[in-house]
Amino acid sequence: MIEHDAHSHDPVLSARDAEALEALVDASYDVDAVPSELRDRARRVGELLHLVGTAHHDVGEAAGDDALVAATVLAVDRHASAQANSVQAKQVEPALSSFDADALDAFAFAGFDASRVPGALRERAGRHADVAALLTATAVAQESSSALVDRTLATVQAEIDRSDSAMQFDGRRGPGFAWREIVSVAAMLLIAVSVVLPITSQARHMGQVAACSSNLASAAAGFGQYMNDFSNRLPVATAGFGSRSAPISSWWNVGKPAESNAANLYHLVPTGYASLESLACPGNADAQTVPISPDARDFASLRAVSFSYRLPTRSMRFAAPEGSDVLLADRSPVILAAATGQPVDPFADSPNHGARGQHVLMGDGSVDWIRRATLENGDNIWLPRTIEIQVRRVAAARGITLEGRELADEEDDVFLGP
Amino acid sequence: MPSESSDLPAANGSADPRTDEQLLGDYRTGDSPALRVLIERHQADLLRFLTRLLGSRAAAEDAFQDTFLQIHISADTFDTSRRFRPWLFTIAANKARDQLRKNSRQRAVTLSAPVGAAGSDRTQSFVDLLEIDVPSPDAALDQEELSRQVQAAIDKLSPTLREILLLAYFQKLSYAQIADDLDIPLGTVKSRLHAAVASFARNWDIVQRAEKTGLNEDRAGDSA
Repeated sequence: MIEHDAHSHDPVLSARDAEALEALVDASYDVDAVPSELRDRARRVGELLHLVGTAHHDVGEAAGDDALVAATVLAVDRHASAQANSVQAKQVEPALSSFDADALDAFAFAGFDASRVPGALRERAGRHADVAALLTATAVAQESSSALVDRTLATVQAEIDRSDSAMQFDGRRGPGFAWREIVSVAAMLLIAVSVVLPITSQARHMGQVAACSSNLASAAAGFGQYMNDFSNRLPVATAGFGSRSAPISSWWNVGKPAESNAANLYHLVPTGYASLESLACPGNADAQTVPISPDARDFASLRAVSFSYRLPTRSMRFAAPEGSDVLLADRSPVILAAATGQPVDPFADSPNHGARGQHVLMGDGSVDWIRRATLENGDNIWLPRTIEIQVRRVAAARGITLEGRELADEEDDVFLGP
Repeated sequence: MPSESSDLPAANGSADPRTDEQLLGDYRTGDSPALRVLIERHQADLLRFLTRLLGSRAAAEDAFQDTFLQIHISADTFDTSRRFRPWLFTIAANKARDQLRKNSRQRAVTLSAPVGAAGSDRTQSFVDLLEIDVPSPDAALDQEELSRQVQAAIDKLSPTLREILLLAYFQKLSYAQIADDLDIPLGTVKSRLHAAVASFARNWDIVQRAEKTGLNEDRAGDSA
């Protein structure tokens, strides 16, 4: 227990006792607060220190171990002087008193509302509330600055311009299409100026719009081939979307092929009629271009779906597509809103192209751009007919809701999702 | 104090009735003005948070812009069934950390770094909040002076403690939610927040004592 320093006449404590002594001092001389592995030694050191305090002059006789006492006194003295002389060398870490620690836990548990803290801890929780207020409610210099808001928006706009420019010039966000395709589609767009002029009014969106149109044209070829092979029927993979008495939860549950309308569109991929790239719009940052697994039967998530596809009637029927029928369109803003429990705007445009309008794939395989979600015959492509009638009746169209169990009311009712 | 929940539109800032989550949803479907509403709604709180965290208004403004730029870039990945505000503040804390790293004013810190000094050089002193003079929010004090003193007490904290303290009090989240947001164990959140509050309280006490000493010296100088 006692060792002697070779260069000194002072006795020194063994390493374990020195460690226990350090731990005891660290614990403010509270033996119970010393780590358990050192507690027994710390208790003994504590007893000796007690002797030092109560009978300092008689310590030799009382302890019967004067060398240990002397070593302990020396060690304590060294510790005290080391603390006094090297405050900076020693990091003193403050800790909360146990009452304050309990009060903080209770304060956090009560949602940082001191009035909800149990009575015994409420006063101290109130002090925590004062500290919280000091931190969060104290004013900082020049707090309000509309200039900062403007600068922030300008930073965001610069990023939008930069990314649009990158899209135009290197096509990084446009999967699966080449420069040649973009150029050829752009040329076609120029020829079909009467249709496309609204699209190109914002030149910076040209790349995205052209790439999307190109992808839809590829998908159209796949649709045509599929319908040729399957007696003019549209692709369907799901057996049905439940019955009136036992409906499914929602057909926008993308990722569950048995319930998802997107799985019907995805059916073109494993059957080899279309690539996943052709079903991706570059205007959808989350567009999926790679199957999640070799045997996947659906997109990974609702946000990964770029195009909304015809919903069938409850008996899983569509009218045989005619030239003026809409089969597919840029993804529905109505479904995106409804699936996240937000109010829907039936007249909103697809988010794929900045809500400026949407591409539609027609029954004759052509790709059009429409500025409004309502077709010439009055059919809203985002809603089934019964809900369209409700919308016409209510002045505030934002009041309508969708649950994802609605289906097309008639075979010729254009209703797209997800 | 910040609003309790973003389920309701914030009372301060914009009068737009939409929730934060609805605004972000609208923004990503093409409603560009929705971003301005979000920025204006959170400007005061977020700027205060960043100024406290970074210790400089200029650095805070840079991080503020970076934060909303990141919100724009990541808008499509936000799950609108979750709350916007914790996401915003977590992004802001990341941007602040980037600033600290970039400015090399502090060594880079990680959220998993241990609290306090290493090894045997660490000792503890216990703080009792009832013995520390913390002004109540309704006390009539010089706000500018108070703000300077608060910043002085925060500046003495390590970046790790500063971050957990400000995130917890600005977001007012449960320990479990903070652990989830910062991706650190719940026990670490608890011990780190305890250490942060204790350190801040001690620093505040030191700042207060220094202020009083300075005042007394000034008075003594005046009377002499």
